[in-house]
Amino acid sequence: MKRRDAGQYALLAFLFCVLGAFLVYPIWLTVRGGVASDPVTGRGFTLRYLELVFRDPVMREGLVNALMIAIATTALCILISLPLGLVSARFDYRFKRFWDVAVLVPLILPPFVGAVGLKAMIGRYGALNSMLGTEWDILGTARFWGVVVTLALHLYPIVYLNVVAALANLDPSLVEAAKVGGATGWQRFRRITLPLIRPGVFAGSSIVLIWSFTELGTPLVFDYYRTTPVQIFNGVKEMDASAQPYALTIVMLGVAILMYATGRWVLGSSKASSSTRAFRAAETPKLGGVGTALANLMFGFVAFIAVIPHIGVILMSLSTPNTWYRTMAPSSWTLENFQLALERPIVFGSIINSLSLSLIAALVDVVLGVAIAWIIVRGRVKGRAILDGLAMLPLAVPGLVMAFGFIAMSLRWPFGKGDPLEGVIDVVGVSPNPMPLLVIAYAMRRLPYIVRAAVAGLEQVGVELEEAASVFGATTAQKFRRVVVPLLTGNLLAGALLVFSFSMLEVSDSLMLAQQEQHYPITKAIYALTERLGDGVAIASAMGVWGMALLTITLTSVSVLLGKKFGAIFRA
Amino acid sequence: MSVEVKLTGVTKRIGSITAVDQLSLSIKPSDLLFILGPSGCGKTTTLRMLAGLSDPSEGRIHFDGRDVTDLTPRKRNVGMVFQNYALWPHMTVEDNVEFGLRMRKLPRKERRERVAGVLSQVGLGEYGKRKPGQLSGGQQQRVALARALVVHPDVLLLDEPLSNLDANLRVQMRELIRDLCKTNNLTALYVTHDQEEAMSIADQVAILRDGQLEQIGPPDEVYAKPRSEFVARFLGETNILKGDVASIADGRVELKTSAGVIASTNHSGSPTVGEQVSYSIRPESAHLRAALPEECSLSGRIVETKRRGHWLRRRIEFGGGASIIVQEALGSERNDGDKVNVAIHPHDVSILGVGANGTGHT
Repeated sequence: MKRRDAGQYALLAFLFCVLGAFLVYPIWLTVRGGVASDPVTGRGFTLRYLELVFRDPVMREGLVNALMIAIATTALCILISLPLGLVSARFDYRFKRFWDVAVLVPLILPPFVGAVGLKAMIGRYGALNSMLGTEWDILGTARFWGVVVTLALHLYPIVYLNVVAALANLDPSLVEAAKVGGATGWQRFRRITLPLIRPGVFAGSSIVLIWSFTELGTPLVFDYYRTTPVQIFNGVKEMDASAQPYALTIVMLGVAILMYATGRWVLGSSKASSSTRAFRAAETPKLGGVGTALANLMFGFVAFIAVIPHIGVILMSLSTPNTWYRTMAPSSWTLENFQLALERPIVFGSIINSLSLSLIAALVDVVLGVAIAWIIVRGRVKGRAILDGLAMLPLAVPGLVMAFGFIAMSLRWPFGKGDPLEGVIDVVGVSPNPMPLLVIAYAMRRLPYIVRAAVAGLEQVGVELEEAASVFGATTAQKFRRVVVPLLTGNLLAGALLVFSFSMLEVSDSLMLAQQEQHYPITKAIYALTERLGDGVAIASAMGVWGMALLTITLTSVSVLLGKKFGAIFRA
Repeated sequence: MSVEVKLTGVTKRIGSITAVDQLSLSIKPSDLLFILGPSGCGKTTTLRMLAGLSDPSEGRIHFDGRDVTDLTPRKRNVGMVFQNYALWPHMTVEDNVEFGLRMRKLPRKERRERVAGVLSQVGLGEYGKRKPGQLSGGQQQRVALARALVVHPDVLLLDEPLSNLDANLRVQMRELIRDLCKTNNLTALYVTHDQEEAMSIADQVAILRDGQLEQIGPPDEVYAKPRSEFVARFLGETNILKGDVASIADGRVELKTSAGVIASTNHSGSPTVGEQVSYSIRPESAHLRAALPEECSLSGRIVETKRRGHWLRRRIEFGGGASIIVQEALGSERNDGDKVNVAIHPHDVSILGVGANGTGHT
């Protein structure tokens, strides 16, 4: 082994240790807990609990419902994104740049907060029914579709960004060749464009599929309890005594990995098509009057539907508590909720918690992300592919599973009762301390985004720029500080902003790991407030608006920093 | 300071491919050695091993007797000009040039003086505050050169440094490179596939083929006395013909060929009577005129004429079916079909690859 390879192996070993301890180990504990015959000690082996999951009709129903939510949400996302992406990539029209950004708006609101707004707008006593003078309980009778529509309206930008990126990468001469060969517009789309952008569509879709399959907040707010994530959430309290929540989590993990693997397999089998690269940009013909109107109408319609929850949340945040009931709009307005949202100890504390947790998570991810990306792109050591796979693992592992594993970790050596690190991390004890776990959970969950951002950056930075630094006398550390990191600044900043903002609005870990008020991050505080009678919902909405403002700023910055590469971050 | 560079049995295997195979050569202090060869012949790999960017699978590399084989690039004190310049886009021209001096922890004052000095040497004194993206290709090339020179390297390595420039600029830049190497008294290794560059400014050229050294020597000698068909063809247009050795006397070899009898005094091996050999004659060494006393004379007929710049290339066919290309100045009034006499000096007839059926391996 050469000396310089020794450094790489040491870095690789360190990264394996970190990922092993905080990613693989919690997942392993979950898996182990579900097949241990003695749930208290975690010893023995049995498949009884797993079998029970499939025997119990309630659990079975929960699984089927979660799957149906995932499939319906993904299908709806593709249906929304494909036409939008095609129009945006192929044509030029007035207000195009505005719509390109506007369609990303849904990303700025956690769907479960959106659900509050949606209820206010189209719920039984909401604005729509007041306007029509009816009491049509759309969401009550169709909770399933409420969940699906809310999720799809939140997640379609992920598929949209991937479709646009795939179309930008498509060599226009391939389509032109079909045109010269006599293919009609539809034939070109079906036989050339669609097969070639399929990897991009699948890449985005598999993220949406797993995301919606494991979504916890939205079903909770819609009172749709017969779904696996909610069942796991409700099982947390009994997890130190029962194996059932573990077993349920294993099943969810299995299905999620199956989904992810299927996505990768489909992507892998269409490798040839994904290898096309545009040598020049496709021409984008300017649409005439009718075309422009249609394009604007299409984007406007989707954007309007997508922002209904946001409008609901904003209106709710501006209403005097309990005055928006059976009316089209709140009957009394106030700005007090925004102030109250910042004054309440539960709220203020949660904002401080979220800010510091997310900031630390983003910093941790920048360091890990650069190191992992560098080994993947530049490394010569064996085990790079495994590292790449591990870094992407969080995409396939539901947040709930990780959260569950972290709780299990806090109960085991060295953090368990009487162990050397007792109390360093504690979730379900009498005086819990979940903060270190929340940082780790946030950092691990969003690691893939920053790794992908750094990999994309490194692939564009020629290796000879690093070699030149070595030749002219730089040590490895100097090379990183003076050449690699400055050249990756844009990508790292974008990745860090994404980690930060998604951590600020992270749901499953926050809901599961923070059990006491002083540890609540923003999302858990919002959830707790929505459950509270009186002014709870109004204040929760005001917090939601603060959150939206924050995410608007960060996502706009990311979009500016990354340009068309933005879509590459949301890829499985 | 200039050092002697020595490669001994250097081999580089990448997977199942042997990119460089048992390469041994040395560069004298202050010499400018060109490594020439087609794409994939191992020339860039050799350069990267000298820089320390790639480790040899076998063999040793010495700078002035000091074994540098296992040293990292930063401990070798080399300067390198990359093919695409590899200027750091986030740094100014000055920062790029200063980088190596900073790494060597030189005092700020000295760094500034040296940067200013070298920038004016390459004619970019005014451009220090610009970023590389604001410079033309030729200017970027000069910055890359300045960055390599400023550290006073023991060895200067140049990896096809002119391949991204247009023809006029290439000529200017290669003169500048030669001047700078000589002014700074540098041992330099220059990798290219452009034989014209090599013939113009090299002290020595080494021709590589499939990772092996085919021939090394001063450019004129390698051009005039190629030891193999590969070298002969790689360094310019040539006629390769076959003949049988009829007699050998006082270093003069008489060859019986289908074109007639030709003599050669230009051979490196030891041909034997009766052996079939290949030989090379450059188009500019064959003259359409009556032979002088020491020259050989062949009679043939012009069968084809093509204009090539300021010259004519005429194909002359001989009685036995053999033909050669001859270079003639524009303005000649001969026509296709004319009978001509071709005069060739034995010195200009190079016998190739003796003992290897004339295929050119040595």
